[in-house]
Amino acid sequence: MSKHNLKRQTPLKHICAFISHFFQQDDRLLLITIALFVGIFSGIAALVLNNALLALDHLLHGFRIYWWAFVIPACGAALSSLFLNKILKEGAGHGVPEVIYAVSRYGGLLRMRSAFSRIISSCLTIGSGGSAGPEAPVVMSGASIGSNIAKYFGLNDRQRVTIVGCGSAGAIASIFNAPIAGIVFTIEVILGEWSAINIVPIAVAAVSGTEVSRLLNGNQIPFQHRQFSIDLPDIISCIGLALLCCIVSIILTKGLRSMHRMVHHIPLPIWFRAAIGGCLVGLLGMFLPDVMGEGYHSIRYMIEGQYSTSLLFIVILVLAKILATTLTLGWGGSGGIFAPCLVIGSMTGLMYHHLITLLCPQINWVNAGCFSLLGMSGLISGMLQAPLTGIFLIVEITGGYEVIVPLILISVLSSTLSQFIEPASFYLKELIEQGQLLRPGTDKRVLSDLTLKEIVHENYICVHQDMMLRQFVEVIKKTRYYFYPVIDKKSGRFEGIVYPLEIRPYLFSSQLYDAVIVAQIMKTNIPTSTLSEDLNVVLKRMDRHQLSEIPVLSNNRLLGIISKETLLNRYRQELIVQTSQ
Amino acid sequence: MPLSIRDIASALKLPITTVERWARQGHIPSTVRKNVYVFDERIIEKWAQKHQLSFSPQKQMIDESPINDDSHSLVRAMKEGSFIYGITGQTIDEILSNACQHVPMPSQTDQKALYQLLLEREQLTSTGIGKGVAIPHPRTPMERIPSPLITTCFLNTPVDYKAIDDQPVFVLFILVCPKIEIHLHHLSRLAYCIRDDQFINFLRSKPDESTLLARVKNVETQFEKTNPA
Repeated sequence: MSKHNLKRQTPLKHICAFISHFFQQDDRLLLITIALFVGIFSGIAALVLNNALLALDHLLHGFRIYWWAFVIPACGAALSSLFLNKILKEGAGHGVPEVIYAVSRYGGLLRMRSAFSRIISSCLTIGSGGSAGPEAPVVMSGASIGSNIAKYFGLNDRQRVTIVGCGSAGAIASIFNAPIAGIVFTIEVILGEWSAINIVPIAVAAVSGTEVSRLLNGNQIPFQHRQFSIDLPDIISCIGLALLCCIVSIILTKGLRSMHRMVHHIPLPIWFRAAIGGCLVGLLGMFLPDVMGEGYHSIRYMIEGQYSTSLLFIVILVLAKILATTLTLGWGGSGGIFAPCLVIGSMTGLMYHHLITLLCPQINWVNAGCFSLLGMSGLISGMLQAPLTGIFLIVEITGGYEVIVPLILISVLSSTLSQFIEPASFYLKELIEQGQLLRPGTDKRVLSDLTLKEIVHENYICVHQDMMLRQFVEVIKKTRYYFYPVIDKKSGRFEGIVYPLEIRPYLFSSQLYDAVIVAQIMKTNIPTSTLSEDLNVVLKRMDRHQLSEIPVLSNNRLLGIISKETLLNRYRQELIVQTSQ
Repeated sequence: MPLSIRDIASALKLPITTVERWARQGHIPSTVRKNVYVFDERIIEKWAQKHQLSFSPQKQMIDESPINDDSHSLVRAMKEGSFIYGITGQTIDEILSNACQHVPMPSQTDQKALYQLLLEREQLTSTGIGKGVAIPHPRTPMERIPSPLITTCFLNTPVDYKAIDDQPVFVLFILVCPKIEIHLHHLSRLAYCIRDDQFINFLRSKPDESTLLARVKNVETQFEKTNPA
C-alpha cells in the first residue's frame, strides 16, 4: 500500500516542484490568477454595500416625513461607531489612508475583520442619512480581502502589495462600473508606483470586478447625460472653475481636519459624539434634504441640467454639504469622502455656471450639466491630488468622452493649484506628517528598510586609554585604519576615538612617545547611536556633527561602527534591488 | 541545489538580516519550505548578476581573516608543512618526487598533483633563489588545501638545481598556498630570512625542528618591525 502511494506521489511531487520552481522565477501567472478571484470578491463586497444602502434608504424613506426624522442619522452614526469601536475594536477613519499605511509600512498586511467592518459601519452611517461615501469603505474591504488571500497563499510583501492593489481596483471598478478608474486610482493613490508587474494583475482585478457588477447589477452608467457642444469659451472658462474647485477642496480638507481635531477634545463617549454629529446632519437635512446620504440622486439631476435654482441657494447648498460631511465624518461617523466630493464638485460646477452666465450673459455657454461634470472632476483631482483618477473616473461614470479636453485641463489645473496651497493630499497628509508614507524606490523607503543592524561593521582595532603613544604608533604602523576606538581595559566601556589624522604633530615628535598616553589624545564626547535607532535619525546626527562614522553602543559597550562608506555601498545595493524589476 | 539563508548571505557577502528582509519583501527569489526560506543557486546567481551583486557560493574561510595576523605566520605554515631530513636524489625530478611524498596534503592524489605542478614550475625557470636554497611552489594556488604549508626538506647531498648563482641546493622550502595573496606574503618573508648569510649558515648546520622554528620566529619579528603591514 505504502509503495503504491509512493509511486503515485512521485510524479505529483515533480509537478509541484516544477510549479514552485516556475513561480519562483516568474510569479506573474500566479498573481494574475489570484487577482482574478480577488477582483471578483471585492466586486461582490462593493455590490453588497451598494445594495444594502439602497435597501436601507428604501426602508427608512417612510420615516423621513416625521418631525423626529433628524434622530435617524444620529442613531445610524451612533450604531456605526459602537460597532466599529466597541464590537470590532477597529479605529475610525475612512479606509483609504489605512490601506496606504498598510501598503507602505507592513507590506499590505490588513486584518480579516477589515473586510466587512467598514462595509457594515458605513452602511449604517450613510443609509441613515449621514453625508459620506461608500467608496473608501469598499476600497478597505477589497484591500483586506486581497491581503488575506495573499496571506493564505504565503505571498511575500511585494506580491501582497500588488494583490492589495487588486482588491482596491476591483472594488472601485465594481462600485462605479469603471475599470479604468479602478486601475488608475489604485496605481496613483494606493500604490504610488507604475510598474509592469503591478499593472497586469490590477487590470485583471479591475476587469473582473466590473464584470461582477455588470452581471449582477446590469451595465449601467451611473450618471447618464445629454450631448454637450463645447466651444472655446467654455474651455477657457475652465481655468476659473479649476480655481474655484481648488478653493472648495481646500475648504473641505481644512474643515474635515479642524472638525476632527476639535471633536477629539470633547470629553464624551465616541458613540455619543457620532450621535451628536448625526443629529446635526439630520437637522440640516430637514431644511436641505440634498445634503444627506451619498447624494448621487442630486448629481443625476444636476448633470441632466434639471437642477434649476438661484446662485445664492447653490452657494448655501455647497457650504451646507461641506458642513454635513464634516459633521458626519469629523464627529465619528463612518464613510469616505469620494461621494461627497463628487456631490460638492457638481454643485460647485453648477455654481460656477450661474456665476459666468451672470457675468457674461452674451456668451452662449454650454449647459449647466457639463459644468457640474467638470466640477466633479476638479474637486476629486484637487482633494486627492490625483489628476488621472479625476479624468478617468468622470469619463467612465458619465460615459462622456466628448468632454475629455476641458476635463483634462480642469483636473490638471485643480490638482496643481491645490498642491501649491496644500502640498499633501487629504489621504496622505497625516501619513506624511507622521513620516509613514514610504513610496517604493524613494530615499525614505530605502533608509527605513535598512536597519543599523544590517550596516554596522567591526572592521576596526580597539586601543586602551592607558596605552603609551609609543605603543599606539606601533599599532598605527601595523594597521591601516583612520580611526581607533578607545576601550577601558577593565570595564570594557567605550571611552572615545583616536583619529591619527588629527594628532599628526604628536605622531612625528618622538620625544612625546613616552610622555603622552592615548587618553590624552583621544576625542571624547563623540555622538553615539544604538542599534534600535532609525537610520534616518542617525544619519542626520552624523551630518549635524560632520562625522563620517559613528560608534554604535549598547550599555556603554561598543558593538560596532556605522560608516558612511559602508552605508553608501549598502544604500546602492538596496536601491538597485528595490527598483529593478 | 537548495541553499539556506546563511549560505546566500555569505555568498552575497551581506548580513543574514538583509537577505531575510529581501526574501520577506520579495526582492530576492525564494521559496518557503517548512517555514524556512530556501533558495535555488542557479536562480540566485542570475538574479545577482542582474542586480550587480557579487555572488560566490564557495565558503572562503581564509577570506575572512586579514593576512597579517598570527595565523599566517611563517612559523605556523612551517609547522603545518613538517620537516624532512635526508631527502635523497640526484636530479630535480627525483628530489621533488621524494619530497612530495612527505608533504602533508589531503590525499595521495594531491601529492602527485603537487609533484606535477612543481615540475611544471621548475621547467619554466628554476626556483633556486641562490645561496643553496630553493623554494619550489606551484604556479597557481591550490584551493584544495585549507591552510598554507611550507615543507622544509634538507637534502642528503647538495644537488645542482640550476639556481641563479649556480650553487648546489641543500635545502628546499616547498610552499603551497590556497590563495595568491598568502603565497606572496609567505614568499616575501622567506626571501627576507634567506637574505641573511648568518641564517644560511645556520640552515647548513641542519638544525632540529624546534631550534629552526625559534630562529625563524626571531627573524619574522624583525621583519614585522621593519615592514609594518
